[in-house]
Amino acid sequence: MKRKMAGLVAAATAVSLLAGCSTTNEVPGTSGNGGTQQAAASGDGVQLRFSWWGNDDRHQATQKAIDSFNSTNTSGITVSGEPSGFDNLQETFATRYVGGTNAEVMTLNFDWLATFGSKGDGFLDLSTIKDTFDFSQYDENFLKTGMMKGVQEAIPYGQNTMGVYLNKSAFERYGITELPKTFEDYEKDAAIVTAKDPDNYLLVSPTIRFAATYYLQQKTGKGEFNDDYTMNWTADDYTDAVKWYKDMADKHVFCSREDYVENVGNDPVSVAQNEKFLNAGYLGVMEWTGGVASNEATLKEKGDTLVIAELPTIDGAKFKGTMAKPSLLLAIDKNCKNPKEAAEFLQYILNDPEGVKLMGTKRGMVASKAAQKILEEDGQIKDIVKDAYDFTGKAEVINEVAFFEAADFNKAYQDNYEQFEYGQISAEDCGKAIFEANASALETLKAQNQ
Amino acid sequence: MNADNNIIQMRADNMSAVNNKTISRELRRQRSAEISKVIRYIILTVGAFIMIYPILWLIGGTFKDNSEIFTSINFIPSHIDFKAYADGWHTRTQYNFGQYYLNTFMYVIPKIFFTIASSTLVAYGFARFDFPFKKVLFALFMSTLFLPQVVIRIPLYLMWKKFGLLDTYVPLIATSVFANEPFFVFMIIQFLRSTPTYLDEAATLDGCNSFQRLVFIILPILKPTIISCFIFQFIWSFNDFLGPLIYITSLVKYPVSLALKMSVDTSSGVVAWNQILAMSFIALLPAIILYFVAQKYFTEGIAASGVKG
Amino acid sequence: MKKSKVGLLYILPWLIGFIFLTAYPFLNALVTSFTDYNLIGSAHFVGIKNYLTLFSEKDFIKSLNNTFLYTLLTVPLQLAFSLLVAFILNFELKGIRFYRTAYYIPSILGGNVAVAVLWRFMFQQNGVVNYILGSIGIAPVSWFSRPVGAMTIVILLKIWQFGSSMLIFLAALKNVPKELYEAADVDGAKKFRQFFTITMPLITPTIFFNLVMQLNNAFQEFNGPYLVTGNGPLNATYMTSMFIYDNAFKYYRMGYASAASWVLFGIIVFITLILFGTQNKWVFYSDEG
Repeated sequence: MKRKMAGLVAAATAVSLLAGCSTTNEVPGTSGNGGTQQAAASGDGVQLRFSWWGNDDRHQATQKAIDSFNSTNTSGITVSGEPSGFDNLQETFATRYVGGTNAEVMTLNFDWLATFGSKGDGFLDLSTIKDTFDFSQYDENFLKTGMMKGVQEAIPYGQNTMGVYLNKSAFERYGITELPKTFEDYEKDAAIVTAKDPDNYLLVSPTIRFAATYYLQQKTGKGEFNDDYTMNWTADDYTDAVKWYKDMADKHVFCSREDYVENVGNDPVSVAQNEKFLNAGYLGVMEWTGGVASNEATLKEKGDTLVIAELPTIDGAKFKGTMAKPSLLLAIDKNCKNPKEAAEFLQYILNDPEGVKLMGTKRGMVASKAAQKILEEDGQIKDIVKDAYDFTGKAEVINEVAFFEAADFNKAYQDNYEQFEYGQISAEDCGKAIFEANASALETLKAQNQ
Repeated sequence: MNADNNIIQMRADNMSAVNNKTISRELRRQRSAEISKVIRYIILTVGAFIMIYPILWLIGGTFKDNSEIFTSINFIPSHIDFKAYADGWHTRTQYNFGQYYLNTFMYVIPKIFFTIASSTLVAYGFARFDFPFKKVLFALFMSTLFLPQVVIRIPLYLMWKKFGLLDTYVPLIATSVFANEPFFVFMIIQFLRSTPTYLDEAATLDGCNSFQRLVFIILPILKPTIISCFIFQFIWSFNDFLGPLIYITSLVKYPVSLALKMSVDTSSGVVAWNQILAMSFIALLPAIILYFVAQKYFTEGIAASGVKG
Repeated sequence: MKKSKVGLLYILPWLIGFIFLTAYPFLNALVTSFTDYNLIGSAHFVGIKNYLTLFSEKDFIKSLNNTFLYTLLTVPLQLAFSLLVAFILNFELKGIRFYRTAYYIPSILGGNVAVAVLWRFMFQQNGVVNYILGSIGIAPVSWFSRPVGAMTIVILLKIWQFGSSMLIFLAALKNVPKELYEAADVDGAKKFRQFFTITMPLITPTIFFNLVMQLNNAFQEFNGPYLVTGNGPLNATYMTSMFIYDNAFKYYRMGYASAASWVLFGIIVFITLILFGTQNKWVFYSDEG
C-alpha cells in the first residue's frame, strides 16, 4: 500500500512537471529531423511560424503576404505558414499551448486570450515590441480588448459588432417595402409574414444570448461583466430578458429555441449553410459583422439581397447601441526567441501598405487605421463589407470582456432558456438559474486567476 | 396377360401421374424460386439505394453552388461542370492533392502492414498458448479499449514531444507497430478460437515449431480475417482526422483528411463547398475500390485454403 | 494447452507498446482525475472531490442515462441487422459484389459532411421521413426538437452505419465450411433453419466479438450526435463521451473530465466482465474440443 502511494505521488509529480513546466519552446519540425535550431537574436536565418485558420481565400491571401514578406524583409527572416480549418481548433490549440509547441506568431480566438492569458503572462508582453510595431494606428480603447491584467498580450485584428441583417427581397415579397426600424415595426411585420407563412420568423439569433445581451445592455446601460469578474445584471434582469425573448419568439420576431433546434441545430452556427435561412424562412439574422459576407454571398446565389438594418432599440433604453468584440487577435509566443522579428512580421501584415493589401479583407474588417486607409484607397472595401464598415463606424458599442465567450456562459443561457421555453421551469427560475450559473463560473475564473 | 397389361397400364398411368406431379411441383418450385429471387433483388436494390444515396448526393453536390447544396435533397444538379474537381485538386495552397495523397499513403501503408503483422503475432500468442499471468495480461489488454481517448491525448502529445517526434508520422504508426489497437487483435483471437486446434496438433507431430505452425497452418485459415483487418485499417487510418491534426503541423506533410477540412471555416467567409465535396468524393474512391476488389479474396474464404473443419 | 513461456514472446510487441503507449498515459489520466488540473495552471491534489461532484451534477447523470438508453437500443438492433444483412449478402447471387459494396458505403462515409446534411434533410418537418409517415396517415413529427425524436435519429444513424460488424460477420460466414450445408437440402425455409442450427453456433465467437465491440462503441458514442443533433433538445442526445469532451476542451476541466472517463471506464469494464462470464453458456470455441 505504501509503495502504491509512493508510485502515485511520483506519477503526480511527473504530471505536474509535464503540465506546468513545459517551458521549452521546441520547433517540432526541426527537432524531429535534426534540422536547424532557431538562430538566437537578430540576424540571418531566423525562422518563424505563423498559425491561422480560415477558408481558401484567407489561406491564399495570407500565404501571398508571407511569401512577399520573406522575399522583401531585410532582416533575413523566413516565416512559414500553419493554416488550418475551424474543426477541433480549440482542442488543437490547447494541446499545442500546453505542449509549448504553438507557432511563434499565432492567431487567437477572443476567449483563448481570456483562458490562456488570464494572468497577463500567457503570451509575450507586447509593450516590449513597441519600437517595431506601430500601436498608434489603433484606437486606445479597442486595443484594451487585447489586454489582460493590464498587459498587452494580443493585438485585436478587427472589430466584430453585433448587428441585424435583413433579407430585403423576402420582405418585399410580403409587400413590405420599408424595412423595420423599431421593435414595434418588427412585431407588425412579423404579423404580416406569419399571416401567410405561419412557420416563418423574422430573425434567427444563433443563440438566445445574442438577443438577451443586446436587450439587457439597452435596458441597464451596462455590459454583462466587468474585468474584475463582477456582474452588472441581477437575476431579475435575466428573468426580464428571457420573458422578453419568449414574447418576441411567440410573435415570431425572433425564432424560438424549438424552431432553431428543429431547423438549424443545437449550437450557434453560421446560417449561411442553413436551408431555412436560404429559403427565406428566416427573413433576417442577428449576428456578428464577421459572418455577414458569407450570408450575403450565399443568399445572392438565390437571387436575394441581404442588407444591414438599422439597430432597433427597446422602450426606455438607457443605451442605444450594441455590443462589440475583437474578431480575432494576434499574439506572440511568450518564449519566442526572436520577438523583434515576430514584431516586424506583424507590422508588415497589419500596418504596412504592401502587406495589408495582400492580406486584404479576408479576415473581415481591420482595426488598424493605416490598414483601413490603405484598403480603402486600394478599392478593396466595397459592397457589403463597406456597409459593415459604415455600420461599425456609426454604431455605439459596449466592448465585451475577454472571458465573455467562455463556454460556461453560453451553456447557462442555452440550457436554462431551453428548459423555460419547453415549459419545464418558470421565467423566474430561469433568470435565477442563469444568474447563479454565471456567478459561479465567474467565481471559478476569479479563483483561477489570483 | 390382360391383367398383366392392365397392371402395366395402371402402373404407367400411375407413373405418369407421379411424373406429372413431380414435374408440376418442380415447375412450381422453380417459379417460386424465381419469384423469391426477384423479390430478393428488389429488396436488395431498394436497400442499396438508401445506402448509396449520400454518395449520389455528394457527386451531385460537386456540380452545385452553395445555396443549391444546402437547400436540396435532390442529387441531380442543374448543370454539369468539372471545375470544382480541377480547382479542388490543385488547391490554393502550394501543394496539390497529389502531395496530400502521397503523404497519406506514407503512413497508411506502414500502418496496415504493421497492424496485420503485429496483431496476428499477439493474437496467436493469446489464442494458442498458455503462459504465466495470461488472464491478467489479457484483461489489461482488453481494458485499454475502454478508456475514452480524449483524456490521454495531452499526456501522449507531451510524450511524443519529449521523444522529439512531433510533426512526423511516427506517433500515427506506433500504435500499429506495437499492436496497441485491441480491436484487431481481439478480432483475430476470436477467429482463431473458432477454428479447431487439431491441425496445429498434427503439424506439431510433423515437427513444426510454433512459428512454422503460424505461417503454414494459421495464416491460410486467417486469410478472410486479415483481409478485413486490411480494409478496416485502410478506411480508418485514411479517414483519421484528429490524429494528424494534433501531430502534423507542416503543410508539406498534410494528409488528405487534413487537407479536406483545412478550408472549412464558415466564420471567415464563403466556403467553396462544391470543391470540398468533390475532393471528399475522390477521397472515398480508394476505400470503395479496395473493398470491391478485396471481396474476391473474401469469397474464396476457407474453401480455397484447402482446410476442412 | 500447457503452460509455456513461448506465448509471452508472441505478445511481446503489445507488452512493450502497452507500457509506454497506454500504461503511461492511463496512469497520467488516473492521477489527473484526483486533481483540479485545468491546462493552464499547475495541478492541485483534490482527493475524490471530482468523483463526488460528478454524481451530483445533473448533466452527468443525464448523459449516463442517455448513454445507457442508446446502448440498450442500438447494440441488439445493430447486431441483428448486420447479421441478417451478412446472411443475405453471403448468397452467391449475380452481382452480389455490387450489393456487398453498396451496403458497406455508409460505414466508409463515416462523418462525411454529406451524412450530416442529408440526415437533416430527411428528418425535416417537410422531409422524406414525414412524407412517408404521412402517406400511412401519421401526422408529421418534429424530429429534431423533440427529445424522443432526436434520440431516434441518432439511433437510426448508428444502425445505418452497420457495415463494420456486417463485414466481420461476412468473414465469419465465409469461414463456415461449405460441406456442412451440402448434406442438407437447399430449400428456402430449411436454409433459414440451417442458419440457426448449423451456422449460428459456429459463429458465436464472432457474435461475441461484435457484441463486445458494439457495446464499447455505443458507450463511447460521440460522432453520431456530434454530426446531426448535437446535445439535442433538453440534452436528449448528450452522451457521456460528449460530457467528457466538453469538460476537457471546452471548459478546460481536465481533472474532472478524467474522473468522468474513469467512471465510464468502470461501467464498460463491469459490463464486459459480465459478458465474458456468460461466454461458456453460449459461445462455442472450437479450440476447446
